[in-house]
Parts: sequence; structure tokens; C-alpha cells
Amino acid sequence: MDQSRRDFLKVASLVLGGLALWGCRRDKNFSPAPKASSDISLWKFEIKQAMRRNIPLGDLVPIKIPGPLPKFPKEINRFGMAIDLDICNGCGECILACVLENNISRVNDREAQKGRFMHWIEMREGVPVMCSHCGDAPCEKVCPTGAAVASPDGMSAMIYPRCIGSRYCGANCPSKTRKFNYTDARAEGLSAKFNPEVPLRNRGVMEKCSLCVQRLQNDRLLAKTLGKEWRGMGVQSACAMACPKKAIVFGNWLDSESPLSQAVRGRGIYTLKSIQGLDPSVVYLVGRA
Amino acid sequence: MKGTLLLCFLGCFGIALIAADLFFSTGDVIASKNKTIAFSHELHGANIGLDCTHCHTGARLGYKAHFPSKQDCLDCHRLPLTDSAGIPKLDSALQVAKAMPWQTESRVPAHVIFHHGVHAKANISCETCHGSIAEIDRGKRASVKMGECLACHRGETGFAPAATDCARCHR
Repeated sequence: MDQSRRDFLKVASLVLGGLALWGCRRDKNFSPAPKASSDISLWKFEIKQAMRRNIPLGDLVPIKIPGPLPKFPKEINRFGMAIDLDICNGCGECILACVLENNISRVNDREAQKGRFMHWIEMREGVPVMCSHCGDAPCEKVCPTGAAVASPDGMSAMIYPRCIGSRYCGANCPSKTRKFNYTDARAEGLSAKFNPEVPLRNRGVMEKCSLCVQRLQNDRLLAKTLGKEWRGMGVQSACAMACPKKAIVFGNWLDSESPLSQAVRGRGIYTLKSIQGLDPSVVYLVGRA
Repeated sequence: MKGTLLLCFLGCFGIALIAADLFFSTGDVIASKNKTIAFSHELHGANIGLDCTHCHTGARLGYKAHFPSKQDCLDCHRLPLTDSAGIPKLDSALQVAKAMPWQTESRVPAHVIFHHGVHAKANISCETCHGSIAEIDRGKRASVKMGECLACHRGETGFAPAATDCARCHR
């Protein structure tokens, strides 16, 4: 043996390193991508599964009507929603509409067992709960990359390509309405592009109700192209459109002619107790004020 | 020995990077993918004076500026327009061409919206992003870089400042 210990180690480490690299290759034979299905009944089944969970709602507390955002005092629009709990029967049609509008992917069995569904609307004791788009949003304060950011139109926006998946926002959200993509839905064939307007999210990205930002953007661009003042009149979120009882009203809090402002007139405005001091844009209506 | 190994490794890595770049990069030039009909922007635009929106419908008011169909070409070229020797050649090329001779994939990623109409309304000419007619004929495509978008939107390039809020362009 004229091979020194040094040379042997060199060759051995090279071989091992090479094997390790080879092991990292992408091979379709090892993990064949399951065929993606866009059969809506799969999503309907998952929604039923999600609605069977018993998530506590917590107390609802009365708040004042949302006004202009302190961050953007000059803005004339602040979009939001009101969910009339006197009418809502918790049927879950809004969840399906939201899924189809925003291309929300299904989760794999492991995540489903843990109850980590991606649905942006969650039924808690028969009450649909989604991101409240707080004016003073705690999620935006802890995002290390600025992916969770306030929009002057009143939304708490989420810029997916910026998200690095630290999940700080989810941890800091008192209403726990942010959803993290634990599942690589595209690789596992669990996502479908129902709506070409909305991009699919990657694994490791936080997502939540966007207040159907694509509909607002489209309407705003059209109004600006035609040179009109834009107040978002006529825009509706997918859940509001799908609600069979018309319990969800979408509109502009700062426009007195908006259907939202008219729907909340004389009504009791409530929100979850956990976010009562955070100036939410999405509220619940119960009884008369 | 050590140096050679390191060089070999770096060389392989470099080659892999270049190969990946060549493999995954989208073509810079529309024409190279599609040589069915040679189209001169200079002849149609600068010489005849056709507006860009004449063929690229939607550029003035719509979200997207579209590419013309074969029928759009034939609307004018049904009759021989000149005595040029190229006309019979063009006629035969148009006969065999596909219904949509030019197809291109937008470079704007799915999570970004770029509305042509709003920019046209703000008096931003096509040339600002797409380059001069000569550059377009050479195959230049508008570059899509957020830094370049923001430079204009912040008002650093002489245009009026526009929205710089994330959710105005991202979804």
C-alpha cells in the first residue's frame, strides 16, 4: 500500500460528497408527482371536514364604526366587510367561493389531521371568521421582510414573494386567521388554478384573506384608465357574492353611499374580543344598536 | 492537488450554472421563436405611420396589449398594396401562417399586475418601456424589473410620481 492516509481520506470524502450530491437530484422515478385534480368535490369534502372541527369563537364585543385609518388620513377609501350574524346560518358556501376565487390549495392528510386547513374563512361555532384587516395590525409590526404590509385602501396586504415563512405574523395574530403553507400543494397535486387572476402560493408562505384584492385592483385600474374617481362602488368579494342569504356585505367604510355603510346603519357592530382594540375592517352585525 | 480539485469543482459548478441559465431563461427575442412572417415595425410604424395600438389592441385602454391575428394582417394585405417584389412572397407566407402567427408569453410574473391602459392614460409612450422602433425590430423586449418600475413610480425619471404601495401592483 503506497496510498497515504491523507490521499485515502481525500478520495473517500470526494466519493461521499459526490454520492450526497447525487442523492439530492430531482428524479421523477423516485417521487412521481401525483396528478393534479381540479375536481371541486375534493374541495367540498375538505371544507366539510374543516367545518366539523369545533373551534371556539370567543366573545364578541361591540366596537365603534370603522373610520379613516390613522396611518393614511388622506385616503378616501377603506374597504371592509360586515357579516350579519342575525342572517348567517353558517352554511359554508362562502368558504367554497373563497377557495375557488383565490385558488386555495388542499392540504395533505397529515396536515388535515392536525386541522391545518388553508381555507381563508374558518367556521367557528357557525360564524365565518377571516382576517379582520386591522387598522393597527399586529401581524404587520413583526414581519421581518415587509411582506405583511398595510395598504392605503384599508387592506392588510400580503406580498407572497417577500414572505420568508418566519410565521411571526401568524404567532402575533390574535384572531389566528393567518394560514401557513406547510404542504407543498403543487408538488403533491393538491392545488388547482380555478381563477387565472390569482397566483398560486408556494410552500413556506403565509397567506390569509386578501379582501379579494384582485377585484379591487381590476376595478381601480379600469376607473383610473377612464379617468374617474374610484370609490370601489360595485366591487364585491367572492364570499359576499356567494352568500345565499346575503349576510356578508362588502364595501367602502368611508363612502356613505356604499352598501356597507347602508347595511351597518342602526345595527350593533361587533368584533372578536381578541382584536377589539385593533380597529378591524371586517366586523359582525348583531341586533340593533 | 488541492488547487486542481477546487478548480475542477468550481468549473463544474460554473458550467452547471450556465447550462441552467440557458435552459431556463426565456427568450429575449420574440422573432427567434417564430420566423413564419418577418414583420418590420419600421416599415409599418415609422414609414406608414400606423399607431402601435392599431395592431396591438388593448394597449390604450386594456390590461394587456395583444398581438394581431393573421386576419388582422389580411385586413390590409388582402389587396396588393404596392408593386414591391416582396408582396407575392408575403401572400404565400400569409396563406400558410397560423391563425395567430405571433404568440408570446408575458414576462410579468403572475403575482404582478401591469395595466397598459393606466400607463397610456398617464401619457407614458410605448417607447419608454419597449424601446425605439429600431430596437423592437432588433428583438428587444421590455425589461421587467421592480427597480425600474419603482424608479418611475417614485418620480425619479421625470414622470409624475405614482403609487408605491405594494398592494397596488402585487396580488
